[in-house]
Amino acid sequence: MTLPMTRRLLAPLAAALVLGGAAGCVDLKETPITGITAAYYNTPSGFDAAVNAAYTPLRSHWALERGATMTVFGTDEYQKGADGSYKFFNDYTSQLTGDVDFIRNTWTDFYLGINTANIVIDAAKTANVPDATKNLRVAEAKFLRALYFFTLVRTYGDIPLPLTPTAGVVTNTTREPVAKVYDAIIADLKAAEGVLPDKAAQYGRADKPAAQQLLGEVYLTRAGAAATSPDFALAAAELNAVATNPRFSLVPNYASLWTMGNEVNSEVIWAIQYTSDPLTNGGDNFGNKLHLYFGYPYDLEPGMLRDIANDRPFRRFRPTKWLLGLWDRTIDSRYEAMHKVVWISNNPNNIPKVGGVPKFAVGDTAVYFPGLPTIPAAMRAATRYKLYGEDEYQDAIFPVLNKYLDPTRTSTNQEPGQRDHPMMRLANTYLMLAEAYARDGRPDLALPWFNKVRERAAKPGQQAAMDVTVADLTMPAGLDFILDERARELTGETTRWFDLTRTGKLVDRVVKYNPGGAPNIKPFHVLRPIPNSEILLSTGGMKQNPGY
Amino acid sequence: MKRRLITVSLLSACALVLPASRATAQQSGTGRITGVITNVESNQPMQGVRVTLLGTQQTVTSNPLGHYTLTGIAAGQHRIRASAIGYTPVIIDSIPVREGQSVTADIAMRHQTVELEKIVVTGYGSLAKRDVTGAIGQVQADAIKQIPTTNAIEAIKGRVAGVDIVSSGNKPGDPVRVRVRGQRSLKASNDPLYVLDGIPMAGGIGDLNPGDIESIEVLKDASATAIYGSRGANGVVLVTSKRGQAGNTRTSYDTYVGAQDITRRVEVFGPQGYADYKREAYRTAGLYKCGTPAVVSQSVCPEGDAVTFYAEELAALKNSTFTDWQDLISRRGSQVSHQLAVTGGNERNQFAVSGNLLKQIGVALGQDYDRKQMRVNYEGQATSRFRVGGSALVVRSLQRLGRSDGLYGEALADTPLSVPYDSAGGIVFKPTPDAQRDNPLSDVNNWKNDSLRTRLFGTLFGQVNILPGLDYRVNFGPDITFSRNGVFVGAQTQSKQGAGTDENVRNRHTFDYTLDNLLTYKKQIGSAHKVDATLLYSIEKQTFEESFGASQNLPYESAQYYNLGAGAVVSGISSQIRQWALQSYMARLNYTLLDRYLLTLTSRIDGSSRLAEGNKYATFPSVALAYRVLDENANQKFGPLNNLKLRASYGTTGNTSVDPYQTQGSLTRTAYAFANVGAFGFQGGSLPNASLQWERTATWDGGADFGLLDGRLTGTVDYYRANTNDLLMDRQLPPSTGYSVITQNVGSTRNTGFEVALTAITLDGWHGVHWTNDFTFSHNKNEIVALNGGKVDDPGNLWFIGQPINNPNGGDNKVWYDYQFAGIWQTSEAAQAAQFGRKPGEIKIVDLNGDGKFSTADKKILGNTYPKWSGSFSSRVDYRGFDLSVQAITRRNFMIRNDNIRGATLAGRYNSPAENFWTPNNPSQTTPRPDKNTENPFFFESRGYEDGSFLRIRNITLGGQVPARYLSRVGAQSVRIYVTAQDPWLFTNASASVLDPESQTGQGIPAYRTFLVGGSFGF
Repeated sequence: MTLPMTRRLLAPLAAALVLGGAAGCVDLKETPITGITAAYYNTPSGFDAAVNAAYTPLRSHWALERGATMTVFGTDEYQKGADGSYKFFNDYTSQLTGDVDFIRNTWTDFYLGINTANIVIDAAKTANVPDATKNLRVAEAKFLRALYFFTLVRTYGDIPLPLTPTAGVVTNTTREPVAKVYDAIIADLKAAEGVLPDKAAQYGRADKPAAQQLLGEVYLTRAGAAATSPDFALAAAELNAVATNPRFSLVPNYASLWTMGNEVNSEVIWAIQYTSDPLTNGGDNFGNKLHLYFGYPYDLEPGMLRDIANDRPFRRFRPTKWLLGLWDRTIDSRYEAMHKVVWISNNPNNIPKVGGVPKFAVGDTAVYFPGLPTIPAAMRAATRYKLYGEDEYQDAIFPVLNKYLDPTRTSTNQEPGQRDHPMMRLANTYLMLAEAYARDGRPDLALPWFNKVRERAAKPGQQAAMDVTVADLTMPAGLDFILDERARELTGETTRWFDLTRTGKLVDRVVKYNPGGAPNIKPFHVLRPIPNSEILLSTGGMKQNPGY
Repeated sequence: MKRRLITVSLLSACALVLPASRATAQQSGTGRITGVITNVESNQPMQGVRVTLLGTQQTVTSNPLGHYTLTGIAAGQHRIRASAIGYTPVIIDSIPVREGQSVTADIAMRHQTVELEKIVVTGYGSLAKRDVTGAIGQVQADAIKQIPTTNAIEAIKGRVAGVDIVSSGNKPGDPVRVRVRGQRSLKASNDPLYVLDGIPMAGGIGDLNPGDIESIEVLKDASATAIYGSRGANGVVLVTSKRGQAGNTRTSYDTYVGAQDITRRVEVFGPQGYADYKREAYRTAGLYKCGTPAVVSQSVCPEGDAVTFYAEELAALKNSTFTDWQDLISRRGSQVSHQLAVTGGNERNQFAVSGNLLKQIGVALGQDYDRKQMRVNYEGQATSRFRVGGSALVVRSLQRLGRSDGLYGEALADTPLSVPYDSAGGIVFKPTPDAQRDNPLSDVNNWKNDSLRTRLFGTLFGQVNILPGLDYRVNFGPDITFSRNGVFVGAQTQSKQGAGTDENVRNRHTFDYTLDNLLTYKKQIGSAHKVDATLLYSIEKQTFEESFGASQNLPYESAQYYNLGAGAVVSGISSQIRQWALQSYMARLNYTLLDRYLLTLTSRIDGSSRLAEGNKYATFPSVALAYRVLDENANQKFGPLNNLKLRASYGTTGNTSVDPYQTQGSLTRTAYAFANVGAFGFQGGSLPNASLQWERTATWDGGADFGLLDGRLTGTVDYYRANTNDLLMDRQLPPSTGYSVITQNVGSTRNTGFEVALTAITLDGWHGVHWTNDFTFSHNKNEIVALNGGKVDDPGNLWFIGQPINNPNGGDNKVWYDYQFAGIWQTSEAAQAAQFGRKPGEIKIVDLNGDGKFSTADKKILGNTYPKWSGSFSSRVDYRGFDLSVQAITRRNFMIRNDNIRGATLAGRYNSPAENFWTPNNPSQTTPRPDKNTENPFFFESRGYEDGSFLRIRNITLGGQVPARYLSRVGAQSVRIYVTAQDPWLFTNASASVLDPESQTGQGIPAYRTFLVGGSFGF
């Protein structure tokens, strides 16, 4: 081999080796840049992030179809409307099983919240955060954990009770007795009550009155349908603290509670937070969607077109006949205050014509539900617009609950709304306080709180007429009277199913007032089935609730 | 270079063997056969063609002018056989040879698609097909070019047994789904690995112009794929691009232009049928009343119609102004392609450059695909021992889909009792007041979904010949993709219903590079041993970045998605980066003993950044043996068999099924607010699991390659069994833990299958007619063997032991688990129906557990979308420069879910497939009674399951060479003109409302057929 030949060979060989070797070493160590791991919780911002995350599951339930279906359907207040896939929650038919996604996801989402709260409580031991902040945030986490457990135990009965964050593969979950769950809930709420300030620094965070109100309701619920229980007095003490807290007062006008933009008012103790910003409102799957479900399809009516102001009507929840007859409308303002009964024509293209002349114009009334049992012929003859009597109500024709209408959505079919969902409202505090006193054998103490709620609801000059007497609140008949009042005041406010189960009145009232559920409901329906996925995946020997 | 090396060694091997075994057969005489061998396509003389005087061992090779001469032949009738790699062997019978005289026999050779002696690319090298020990399918340029598709991989549909290719949709530029021997993974991708000219293609091969492809090889068994180790389990698709050849510079221009129209449409209710259906829905709800006093009526009356129909619908009924919305949004599509290529070079340097323009106008309004591409390929001999080369591919494509599949869904749902245009010819946005519907023409104008991709794919290599037989090679291949997806939904759309806008932009940038260091050694040791060894050190690294922004309510719609900042509301913003790296060592030894016994040993060690410390490295070994029982080249025979090779292989491969960072666990971002102040947080997202490993698949394969009747009938059969273990599954946790899953290596799946590929040269020059037929047959049985709980079903994920995989990712194959339809409750069964809480006219399902209730316990496995078998047939006839070819594909015995039927709400609100629905007077057993008050019929889930078996005529092409005497005038060397019908017919049992049984739900944009005319011009 000559020298030039060698060079001709070696130079490219060397070049190739250099090229091959230069990039020939690759680092297989992996460092996440976009993502973050659990170590983050020990930093101040990470600790805060865990606390914020513990609040998020609040949005997964009550103000979505799931929470509404599980609290509004299958009660005395509402029966099934024309549309929707979850009618069996109203009808208590065999389709209501542990495989239903609402059953599964309620469990999953609240246990996610519980685990997040557990993370906060656990991370507080090591996080690099000032003690004062830690204590405050741990108290918030305990409040949330209690709320999630409380919702689960009321829905499912015996439930797993994890109080530390999950690490690694955990499969041996077991159902703990209801009593033990309540002990944990009460311990959490007492701890929270002792630490939380009277008013949270940021609106929407848990504070002391919220913990007191929740604890009051927990006691009331733990007492159940019992005729006597020490829990009634305990409940009354907690609720009285809220009722007498100077921060809160009933707003003078019941209707103004539901005015868009007035969600923050003197009557709200604590509310799930929503915003107009899609980023902080959680995207398309979240937001307050309750505006969808109580609607009747006005957009099929002559002279009407779906628009933002009139909302998007899903026709899921139809008021029962019993509910519609509940108010004495001569003295009680609430039926009118909470129902939308008039629709103003917004579509010139389909206004009916008589002899070529439109019967009415855009801006005139197109549909009216006067709330009469039947429409007199003379009235019908004298009206140019459409009238519905109560005898004409159907699965897709009924007056619409206006508590959740949200005209601030930016397009007709937009689902996420921005109303805060009031979980705790002073009128409810009064009614629960009255119930606690009344069931504790002290109806005289109950009466003023009860009448405050009724008087506020009175039509002008009818305050006295709205007042009730100690006899009305005396047990045992007084319990039904109180439940009726709760229906009048808290209609559709996602509490009804729990009100009826805790007082042992669910079966009785569904049989009486809900035609869909009446033929099928059985005593076991006071609990929901637990998710079959939990039973299947658990190695702890879980059993389904009886009946399912 | 590599190909030539192998060819040379192959020839020399033959030369060594032949004299030894056949020295006795020489005969004596003085006659001669002589002639010229030409390539029938190019009319160019062919050098290096082997011509054998059959019955003797005399073989000669043609010279550069294509001349050959066989001498010393005894008088009589003789047969000769001409063969060359990549060409169909030609046998000429009855050549009369006289003593002392020369007889002329000119031979025309033709490129052959399936043939035993061709070169097969095996990954990190290539082999003569006869030396291959694994299961590898090959498709060459001619077959690829024949299918006028935008996606190169679709061109091999039905060409390789065991490779299942299914369209994922019929929109222009839609990707296809490719499965090699079934699927293995429950959670991770089941896509094969794509490799272009040795470099893995990070973004798939959808950007590649089919005209630039020389061949596609699909590696199927573990012995073939194990060289790709951790990524080989789903099969490997090797794409080899065209490159320059030494010789005259050749210029070619290929073009076609075609028209496309819809093959099937869904027959929805026409105007009268729709009116009857809507009336019935209102009757059922007690709303259709006639007379005074008004009673629910079966007759038709104006009062009833007034309640039932919108004013617009009443006007349409009165004036007979109806609309076929399906027709309105369909159009005749088109597809045009132009490709210009120049290839050439000399002994030292070769080049190939090409450019391609392709445009497809879809059959649905507003959908099209446009691609522009350039490619340069250069290889040069820098010194006698140093070779360098490189290639660059630049592609830019724009896919515009508008409202995508939803456009067709809108057209199917809209009432025919309405008009699309107003009296001034403008588009009526809302043909009826229904709040969910609009005019799909308005969506065409106001709904944009544009994907723009720019891709740069390059390769560089340097190769040094260190010692005879020993080469060192470096490959470097960067693959850079920018893509931008812009979506704009204007106010006048179904989504926005007249108010607001939605707009978003997603930008993605992927940079991937591969660096290979390869050492290869080839050596013939004595006459008995041949060694071909490869050593590889390789790294691959990928960085992926993505950013996304979304806003709402633009003040002016002309900004579309180009000015997100103008939107009144920011509705989404995100970005991410993801990186991974792979470091690999691979060794492969091909050893041949006595040219009869073949052994391949491979082992690859992969180290991956995706796995946790301590688990980063894994080894994937394989072994394959082959025994050449009968050798065609040695003229061995057994009855009609003249070629037989038996193969057996075993090996393990892996699946890259862990996402980067997955082993470390992650937190998930949450949103909340206090008052109106955002309170974002992080909750536990996924639990960390540092013990994660690759999924491993161990494959047994036994196969045979055979030839009969002097190569007139050749074929391959393979049987395999692939067991995948350590499946990476999301092991579900009891939800009360706060987590739904943890990713673990648990469970296993199995694929067992049988493949046959046959090629028959039915006529070989009979009166000048060449006729070849190809068949493929594939059967694959996929089953889940174990899940995380052992042999326990998981109905939540639709995973059942013994049933095929239901992979929730990417709309993959599905197992159907649902209620079993049992007809419609009839009036006479009212009492029985009532026990189940149902009424006559509603759907009856099978009460599987007999508990007298309908509940989720009554669901069962109804079927799945996996075909029992699939096959293809293609046939080609050549006669005097004309060619006619036909290809058909079939998939048999699988179940689809017809979502047009299943999703029919029958509530009188939306139009629906024209079904014979139940009424009190019409005891239908197929379709429930329409009911305005039922949003979906009870147990609607049970409807729509049906057999999807189909036979599709894939392609018919008739082509002709323009005779040489006309060519000189236009300066061309060869011109071929052809007409093609692509997918002209579909034969299926699927019902009329299934748009395309190839899709699993029968929905989307309909399938179309293409009629085109094209030309190939060589200069």
